[in-house]
Amino acid sequence: MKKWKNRWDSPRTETSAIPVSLKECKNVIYNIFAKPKYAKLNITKRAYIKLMCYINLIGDYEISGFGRIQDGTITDFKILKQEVKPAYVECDEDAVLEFIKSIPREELGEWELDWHSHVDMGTTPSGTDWDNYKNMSALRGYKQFPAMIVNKKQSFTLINYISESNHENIDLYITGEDITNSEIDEIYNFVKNDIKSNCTKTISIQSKPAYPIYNNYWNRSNTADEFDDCKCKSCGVPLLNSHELTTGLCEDCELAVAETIGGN
Amino acid sequence: MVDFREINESLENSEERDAEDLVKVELITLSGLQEYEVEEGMTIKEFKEKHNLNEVKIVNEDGDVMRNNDIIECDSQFFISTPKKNG
Ligand SMILES: [Zn+2]
Repeated sequence: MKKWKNRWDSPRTETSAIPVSLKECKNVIYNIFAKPKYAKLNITKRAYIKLMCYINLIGDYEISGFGRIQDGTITDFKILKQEVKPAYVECDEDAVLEFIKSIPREELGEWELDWHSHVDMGTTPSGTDWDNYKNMSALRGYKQFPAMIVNKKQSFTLINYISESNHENIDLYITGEDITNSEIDEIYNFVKNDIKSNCTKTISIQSKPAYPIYNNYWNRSNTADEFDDCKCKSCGVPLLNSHELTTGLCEDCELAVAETIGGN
Repeated sequence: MVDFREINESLENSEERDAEDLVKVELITLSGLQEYEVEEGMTIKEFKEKHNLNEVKIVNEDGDVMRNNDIIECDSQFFISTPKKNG
């Protein structure tokens, strides 16, 4: 086996023999050497009040979205279509796609803040949150981003997420501009309507029904298309042929399941 | 001592194929536009594996989800998405 003089000395004509090309190493190298983007961030009063309205008006449920950062200051928050629960919140991939399409292309880079609430609980990221940050990092082309968790007691955690093993705290300062009561009312009413149109609360009725046959009905959630027979039950893409309709899985998911079973 | 400027230049300039074999893929990501040059005829599965995008869904401009066996034949623009789940 050929030995390189040093690890950067791979001849360009032979890169195809190396499992990972130099270009592909770039994300990894970037994430190892990256310095945190922000040591501190500011937040405007308007944005802070909007955030507090979201986490309080949603009640005893978590809520999640993205925030806009302009020149080191958090200036706005948005929510996506989402299913909210007391200790969990999910925006599906259609909701995330809808968000990406709704923001002007040149503005997308500013919507880098990933945020959600923990109702009354501590703001340390959960296992689900760390998994989410990893996926969101892929969705951002492995660029680092600030991630914030807040609760109703106004505690928060704010970090630069660079990679799974590299994340640093960010200090947060509120800006000192004036805000009128009518502006606060406006924000409050906007958030109230925004929650009404975008947040779905799962209805789960605890009391047991009289007949077991009704189980599916009583336990169902009020989210759409969960019972759509024409979509893959694993990933949700439209099914294309009779084989897929019979298995209920798209070919990609069927293959993934087979590989998992084969690998065990 | 390692010269990082030199490393960075080699990362930027390393070309593996002739230009005529390559097509341009524009991905609209959560951070904005990302451009890639890929080999013509590459499957979506290969593209995902090469760029560490296995966990994301690739959607074309018409809103159709790209399948693993779909082939990238010409300059294309896609959106990528994945669920945002917090607990
Ligand atoms: Zn959380």
